[in-house]
Amino acid sequence: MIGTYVVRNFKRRKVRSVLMILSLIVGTGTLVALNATVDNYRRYYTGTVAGEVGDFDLVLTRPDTAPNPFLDSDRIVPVVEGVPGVVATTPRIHAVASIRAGAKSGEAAFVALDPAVDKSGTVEVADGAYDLADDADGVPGAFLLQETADVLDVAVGDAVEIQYAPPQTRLAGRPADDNSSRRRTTATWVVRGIGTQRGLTGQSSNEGVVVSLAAAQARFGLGQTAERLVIELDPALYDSRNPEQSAFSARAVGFAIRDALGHDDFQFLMPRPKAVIDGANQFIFLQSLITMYGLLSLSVVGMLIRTLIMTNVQEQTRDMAILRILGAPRRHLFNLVIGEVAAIGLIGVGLGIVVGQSVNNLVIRPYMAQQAGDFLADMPLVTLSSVVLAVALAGGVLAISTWEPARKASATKITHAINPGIAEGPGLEDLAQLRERRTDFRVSGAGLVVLMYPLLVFYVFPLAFDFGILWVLAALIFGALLSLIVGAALLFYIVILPMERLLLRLIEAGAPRVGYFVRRTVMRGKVRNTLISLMIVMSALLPSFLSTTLALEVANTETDRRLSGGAPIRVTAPRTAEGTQAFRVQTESEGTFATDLLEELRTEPQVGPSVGRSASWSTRVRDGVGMRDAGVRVIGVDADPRPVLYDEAFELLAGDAGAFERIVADPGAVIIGAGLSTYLDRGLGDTLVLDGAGRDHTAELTIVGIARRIGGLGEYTAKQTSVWGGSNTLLIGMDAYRDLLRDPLLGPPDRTTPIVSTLMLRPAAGVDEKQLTTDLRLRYATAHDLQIDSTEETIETIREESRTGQIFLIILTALTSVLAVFGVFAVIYVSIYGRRGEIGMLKAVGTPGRHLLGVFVGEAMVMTLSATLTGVTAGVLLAYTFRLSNGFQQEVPTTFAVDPIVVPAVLALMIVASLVSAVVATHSYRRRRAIDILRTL
Amino acid sequence: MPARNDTDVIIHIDNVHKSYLMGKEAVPALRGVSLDIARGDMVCLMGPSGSGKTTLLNIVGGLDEPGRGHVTIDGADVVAMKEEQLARLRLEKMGFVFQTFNLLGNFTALENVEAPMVLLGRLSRAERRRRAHEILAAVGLADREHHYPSELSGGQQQRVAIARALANDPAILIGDEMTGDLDSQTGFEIMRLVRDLNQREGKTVVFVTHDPRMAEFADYTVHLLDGQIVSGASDPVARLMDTP
Repeated sequence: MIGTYVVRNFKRRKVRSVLMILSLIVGTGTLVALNATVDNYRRYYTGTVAGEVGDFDLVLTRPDTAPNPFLDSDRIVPVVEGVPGVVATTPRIHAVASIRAGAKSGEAAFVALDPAVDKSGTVEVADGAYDLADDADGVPGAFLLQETADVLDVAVGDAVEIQYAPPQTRLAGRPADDNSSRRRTTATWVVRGIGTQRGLTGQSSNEGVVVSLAAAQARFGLGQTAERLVIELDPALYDSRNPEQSAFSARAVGFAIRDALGHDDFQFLMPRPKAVIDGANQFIFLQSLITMYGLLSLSVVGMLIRTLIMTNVQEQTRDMAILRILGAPRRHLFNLVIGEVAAIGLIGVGLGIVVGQSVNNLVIRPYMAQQAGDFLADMPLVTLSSVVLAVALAGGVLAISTWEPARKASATKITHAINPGIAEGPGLEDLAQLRERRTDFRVSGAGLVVLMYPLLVFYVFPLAFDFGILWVLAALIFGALLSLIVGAALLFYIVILPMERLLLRLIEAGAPRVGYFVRRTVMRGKVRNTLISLMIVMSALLPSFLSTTLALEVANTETDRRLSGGAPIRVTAPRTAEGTQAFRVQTESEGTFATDLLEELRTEPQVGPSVGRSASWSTRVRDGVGMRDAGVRVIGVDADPRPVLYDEAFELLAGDAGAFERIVADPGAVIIGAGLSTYLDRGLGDTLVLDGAGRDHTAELTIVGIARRIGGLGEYTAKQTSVWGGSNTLLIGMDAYRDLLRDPLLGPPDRTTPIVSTLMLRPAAGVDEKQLTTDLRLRYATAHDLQIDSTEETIETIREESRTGQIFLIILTALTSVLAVFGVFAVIYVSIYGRRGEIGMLKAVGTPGRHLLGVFVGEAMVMTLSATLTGVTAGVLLAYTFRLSNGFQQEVPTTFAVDPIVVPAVLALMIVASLVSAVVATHSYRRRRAIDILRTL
Repeated sequence: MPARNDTDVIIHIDNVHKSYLMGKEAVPALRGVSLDIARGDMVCLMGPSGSGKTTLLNIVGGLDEPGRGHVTIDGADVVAMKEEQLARLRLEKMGFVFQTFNLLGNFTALENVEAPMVLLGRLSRAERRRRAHEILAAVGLADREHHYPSELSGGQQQRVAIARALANDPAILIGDEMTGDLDSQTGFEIMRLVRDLNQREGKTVVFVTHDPRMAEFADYTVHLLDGQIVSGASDPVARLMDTP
């Protein structure tokens, strides 16, 4: 009987059944696709990580304390390859070599590999070919990376000289001997190709040269030895959804290799697993985001199915009452509804899996593959776990959304068939229930909600962070995101009414007659699906929030980076540089430049003005009379920084621009932050007392400037709270800094001791910033272990990442918006169905069809757009709130921005959805005669 | 015998046939019905279930079209009209009162009466309001004009429905079981109101009822059986001639 009921219902209510099946197809499809996206993204992440750290799972080298720095690859490779989980092992030489082309030379990465077997990373050839073989004359080919080729001004066919020195060794427990000579060998290569790499050299930049291992071994007299073995592990090791688990699986293979090699004198490096685990937090956030999107999609499907099934049940109340008269038990009526949904679910979910797979295979995966390179080439299309998860969740949603209609069906009273007029009121069978006192769970629920915040803040979050359990952190991030979206949607729900009024006014202005009817129905209608409206609000809120956040980030990147970096280029000394111990006391672990290197950099013809800054040194400052003191950080500069700083990067609230010159020239002058000035109540011309290194060492400094901001040279916030944290900075001249850090008992400081930790500079007039950065990197970064940052380059990188993020967001938004469209359709369809009598009457009294269509389109537009606009408003305001509060905290200005793609797309989609929904849902009523409609009532 | 004045016949039905498809079988509802209704007449259609009275009423009201035959309403051939033209005809010349009232639930009594005037679009907002107020006062609901249908009794709702039917000052009032959902006393009140409108304003009224007591309010009753008129159809011209 259930089967007959299901089939008949399907035939009688084709539109509803098809709608439910379609929504399930899209819902399950979205889930499968989203889950696959998580899988893909995990691989994509691993793939993009490879671009940063090299496409290497494991690298085997000799430690620098080993007598022989080279590996006997013929002996080791078979052992390593015998370990389960190892896919390939290839020998290589990695070094920093001097490369000369004509009169130009520089130091860059030198990679020698066997192109026949070494498949790590990808190469994109811009000119020539990736051909490392010897030519007819026996001259080997080299592939020059783009930035090196640009700096050395090399073209395909040119010869380059590469000078190589084997790795330097040292005795255990002893430092390397700088005076020991290293055998250097020079050989010539001909450039066969120029291009870029990803994951090949282990560096994100495109500096260096790639040659064949055989040629390098022959020309540098290395025999069959290699400097390292690059080991590729089975990608299935990374299959776990937990990045930590993935990394540990890879590490287990590392342990197995170590055991197989008999704990010999090897050094292990695992760049990719390490990067994967380090980036886990970022992955967790994205996984939470995707889960959030999935949940939104499912909720819309659930609402839709509940609404439609409930309509079915209401329509069939009389039939069910008759079944009860005939003796059908309540559970039978319950099973009828469950059976119908189960049948629809079976079809919808089954087809949804196919659709999800198709979306993943045809859209998402190719996009990810394009972004991540060949890494995704051999990955499975949709994993079984993705499908199982989607089916389980869809099943759960179906069960939840069907429960209430099924319960209502089972509660059908016999009176519904006998006297429908009084059936809705309480009958004799309800009296017992009415008399009985019951627990009101809503009160406890409200208590739980009130407790939620303190529970999260004081218990759950600290516990999760203490234990560092990734899935708990993921759940918390997801919960926080969910609370944010749901909370904001509920908060802004009150905006729907003003939005409706606004839209009604617009309709009334354009079509007064239509507006007359729309206003009364929309503003007074009691049959409104609040839950669906909320879902639409949330569906619009999440993408609007994320896309506006992204747009604000892009728009403010330049200013933010300029304000934080201060100067176009920053060259930072290596943290382990020697000669810094004298200044290590209480300083951050920053290294310092060797004096001659600093001089060399500053006198580079391409380098314009520069300023050397010291590490920041923590001490205390006092007002001199013992009333107020504060922890501060002191930074010294060796020149007036203004020529180097961006114009917007410094702002003095008191004192003139000459203050910078004064601190350099006068060891008794200081520039302080506005917050510190307020806290100590000391202004321009007042003095401060600073504690120096050693006992009873103080310095009295005169305030010559009060700053609100000095980019790249510490914190000069106007907030007093920063003073309490001890992060406010005092800027003084380098001589004063040396004096302050020198214990007077040790005598006067040596003015020649290296002290500059960062060199901030501008390119000379006419020199391109990026070109200079590349040039400096080529010549100094590797050779002297310097970190060279370019503000312009950072801005470009962030913008590029934002573009990728936006595309990712559009994919997610498109998937969930399609479901929101179904939600809109269901609401409008049910609303129109419930107003058949009204339609029939209006047609009977002579309402033209176009007027009816106008009224229903207007109603649909107002209901949908008001919720969408509310969501968009909430999302945009939320994004601005975060940005402005962040800007306030950081004391940086905010450039206003709007998202040009996602927000308009969401609005356009909802307009189309309302239009199509109203047209399709009223189609049959518009075509039917009034009398035919009225007859069906 | 005076010359027949065609303008006095407001509804002319000539040999109208109508069948409905029930499954695969065509079931005749009207079989060659001819009827002329004079302007200002109050006509009752009666007959057992399935006799075709509602079908005839719907055809008279321009809600349904005949399968065969001719129907002229106030000189206009409705059979040849398109749907939009028929809608316009109904809006201008007819008022409908249904058994189940069919009021717009989200509109007040005043707005329900105002709605057809909005659709016709001839009056300004103020004029519409004034007219709706007058009509509601005429049906005895001046003090209920801002009430929603759910706040009115069945009789009051039907009065609002009558007021709405009169909104565009139609020549013809069509009533389908107007008193079917009302108790006897309220039903009589409604029929008195309709009769009053018929006599005072000269509206042509055609209505269907099962209740012989309500039929007594009509000038004459047309009895139908199996899709044919069996008694009561009168020649309006002859009746005019009989009129002293």
